[in-house]
Amino acid sequence: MATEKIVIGIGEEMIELKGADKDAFIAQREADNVQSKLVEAEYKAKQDARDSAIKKLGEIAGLTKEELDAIL
Amino acid sequence: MATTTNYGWTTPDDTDLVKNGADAIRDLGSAIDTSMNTALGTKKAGMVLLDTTSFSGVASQAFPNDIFTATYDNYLLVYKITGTISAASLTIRLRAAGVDASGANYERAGIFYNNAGTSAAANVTGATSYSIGAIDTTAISAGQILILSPKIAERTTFVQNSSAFVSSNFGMAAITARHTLTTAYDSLNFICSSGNISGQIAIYGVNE
Repeated sequence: MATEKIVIGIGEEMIELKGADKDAFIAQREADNVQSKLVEAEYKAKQDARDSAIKKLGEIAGLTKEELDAIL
Repeated sequence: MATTTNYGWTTPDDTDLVKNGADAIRDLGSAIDTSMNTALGTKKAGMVLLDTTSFSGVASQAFPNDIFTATYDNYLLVYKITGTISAASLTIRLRAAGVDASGANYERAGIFYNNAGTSAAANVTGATSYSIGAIDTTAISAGQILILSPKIAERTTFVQNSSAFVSSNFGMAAITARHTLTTAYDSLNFICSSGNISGQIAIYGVNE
């Protein structure tokens, strides 16, 4: 991560961050990642629950995956 | 007297007397003044394009300083962005005098919904930025955000309607967000959580 080149844009100007500015930018990014991962985790949990429910429904009703896809 | 094609302004004919030239110029000037006031005074454009910035391969992209001014209370942001790392988070921070507002003062409520039929709430308080959704490496993340009162000493509010990518599935985001401090800001910054972004951002002032 420390060797990663960081370039930011302000209007038409492009600036390569170095030293303390670069470190601060990377640290802030890592903090921002926590928030986005929470949303992703909620999504994944809901998707897994949905897939599991559909599978059980198929087993109960005796439907193939293709038949389930056709009606859901 | 001859008249112009679009607005019917009167112009002197070649046979008109030179001594009447001053009067002809006054009449023409008055007619132009009336038309301009109609176009820009009582019927001025609803939105005025203030800046369009195209960018490539940057970790963040900000509008120039002082893009938000006292001329407009509200602004419309239109964006089209792709990333180099799929599922990276795209966030916005307000800026004042070239410095991002990175305190834990952003909050958000709304919903993400993808074409796999899955939804996720977008409810966040005390965040250090306003996350507008994940980006993709091949498809464009795009949308519009109405920004209310950024330059006024009020809480800045955002109303977002956009595409979004979650779990690599294309979807939508319908979100309202706000910055809880009553600070006047003059610009904003797009930041991706990893990799780089490319695309175009445009900001319009909304006339009242």
